Amino acid sequence: MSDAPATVYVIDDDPSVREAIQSLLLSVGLRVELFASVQEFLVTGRDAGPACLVLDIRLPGRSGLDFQDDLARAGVQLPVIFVSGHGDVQMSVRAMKAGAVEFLIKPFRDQDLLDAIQAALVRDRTALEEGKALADLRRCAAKLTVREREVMRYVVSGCSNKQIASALGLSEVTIKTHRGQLMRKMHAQSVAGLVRMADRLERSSTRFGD
Amino acid sequence: MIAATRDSGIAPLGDMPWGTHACLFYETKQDAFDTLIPYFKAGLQSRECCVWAVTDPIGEEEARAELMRSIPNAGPSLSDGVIEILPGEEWYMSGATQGMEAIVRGWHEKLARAIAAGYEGLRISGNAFWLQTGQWAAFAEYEQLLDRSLTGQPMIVLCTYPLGQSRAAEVLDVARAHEFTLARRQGQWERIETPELKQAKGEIQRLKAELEERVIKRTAELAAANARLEAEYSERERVEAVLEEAKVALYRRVRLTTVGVLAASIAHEINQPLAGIVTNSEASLRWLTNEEPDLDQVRAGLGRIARDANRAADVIKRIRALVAGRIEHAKFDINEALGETIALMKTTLQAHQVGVQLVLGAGLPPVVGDKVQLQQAIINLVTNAAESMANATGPREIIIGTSLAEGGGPMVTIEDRGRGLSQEASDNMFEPFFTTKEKGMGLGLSITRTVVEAHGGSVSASPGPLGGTVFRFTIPGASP
Repeated sequence: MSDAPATVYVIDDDPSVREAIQSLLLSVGLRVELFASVQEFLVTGRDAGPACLVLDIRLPGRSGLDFQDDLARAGVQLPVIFVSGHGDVQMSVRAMKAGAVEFLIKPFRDQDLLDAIQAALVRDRTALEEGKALADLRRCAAKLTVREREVMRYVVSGCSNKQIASALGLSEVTIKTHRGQLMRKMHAQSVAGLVRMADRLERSSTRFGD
Repeated sequence: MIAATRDSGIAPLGDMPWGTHACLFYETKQDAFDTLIPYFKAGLQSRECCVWAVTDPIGEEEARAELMRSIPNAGPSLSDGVIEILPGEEWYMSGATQGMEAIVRGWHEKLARAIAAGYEGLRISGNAFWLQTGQWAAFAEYEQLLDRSLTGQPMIVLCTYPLGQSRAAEVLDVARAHEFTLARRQGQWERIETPELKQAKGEIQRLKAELEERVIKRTAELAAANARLEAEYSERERVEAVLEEAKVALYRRVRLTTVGVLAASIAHEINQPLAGIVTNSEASLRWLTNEEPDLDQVRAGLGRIARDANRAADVIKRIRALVAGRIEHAKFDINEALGETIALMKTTLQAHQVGVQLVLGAGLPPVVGDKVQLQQAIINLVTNAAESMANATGPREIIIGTSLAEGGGPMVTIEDRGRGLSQEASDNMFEPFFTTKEKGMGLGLSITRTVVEAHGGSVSASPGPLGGTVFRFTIPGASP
């Protein structure tokens, strides 16, 4: 996954700026895709590899800031670097709060943009890896039987086999068998590892038990 | 001018006003003469006609003799009828046959004749004929009629009653029917006032005091109200002055805001190519210093730099044209001014996602005035048009046109496809501080009107054929 080529999406309605940024990014070996408007970008969508957005804040159509909100609401996690002809404090605060990586005022230093892009790509790569790990975890959890999920809920809440057996009205031996099965299916080395997995699944708002 | 008060000739009465109705009780015939002779004497001296209605116990001849004896020129007065001695019995008897009004009317006829003859009024002495005939009810009616008829008339009546023939109850009734009662007994005067009169006098006194008090109080109240009004008035003036100041300050601010919008627009217009130039040159440097320099990329970069620099220069040129127009009352072409304005508003219009269609008329006369001011007026109208389409779902387009107005000057029309105008908006939109926008100050259109009118033109708005609004202004044309 981390080997996939990184892409920078540049959305700016001004061709001068667009082409200049493209030339700059190409010169350091980055993949660039240019868009004149947010709508154009939305039609194309993002590639699978790590990526980031360079977005003019005063675009025609939906403004850059509104677009950032849209992305967040749609669950598209794409780090955004804002560039603006005249950023004011209010704008930059709103952008940074919404999770922007950087807020650059035109004309900007090339190194500032490149640094911001590097940081954004690292962030996106991490997010993608985390996303992949979570997906793996979900795949594992999906293989559990109903009973194994039930037993897992008791295990991660710190119950002993005896307690689980009495709670579920099963023999301790049966619980042991379920427990061994679910540890194997989840690729868990220890109860502590299983607790961490359960926590991640929980935080990603996936109910794995019901 | 007739004197307001008359000399009664009777010491205890002194001066008395016209309309006085007094009565005299006398004991002896001499007591009656002691009163009546000076009474008539004073009347004659005051140029009044006098009538003496005599009855028993005083006879006509006796009365005449008494007058002749006591008043030096009584003779001519008697023969001229200035003083008349009436046989009272006859006179009063007419009342019994024709009603009491007839007697009263008779007195007033005598008064009218006296006034017509140039006398100041009529002085009467009557006699209590009824007291002797027992017609008491008639007496009471007569006295009341007479009393009422005296009001406001130049007439004085003194009724005489012989004390010896009056019973106590009758004395009281007589006294009550008159304002004053005089008694002459054995050469001594007594003056009796009726309780009603006393009461009335007291009441008058009280009312007068009360009135004065009320006047004082009311005056104070009025003074206070006046002071309050004056305070309110000066407060109002102060508030109006503050309001006026605030208005001026706001106008100034809006002017600055308009200039500020223009400046921001210009800054953006220059900043974009500048950003391109900087980034392109940096990119080109990188292409040059890469391990394998890519000259094609460098060439392309330099080409873009030149293009962007020219673009920035164009913006500068437009601003210079704008600044050059800052001479008041310069001659300029309206189409040119319009084109420049729209070019400068490009960013604003893009932000509103609004397209502009220019339909410029040919052969328009030039305009003389302040170009920047007029351009600001145009900016206000175009901004307004763009904002009116904020929530429009149809085509977002402004059609800006110029043509020749009826008066020979150029006319500028700005048509939007916005939500149109409410009646309230149509009536008030050119008024300062009227706005339908949430954040508007309501000065844009009012400034536009001020500017256009300052150039001798006029501005108006009407519903557009496409559902929006058409704003149009005309300005007198100058000779080319």
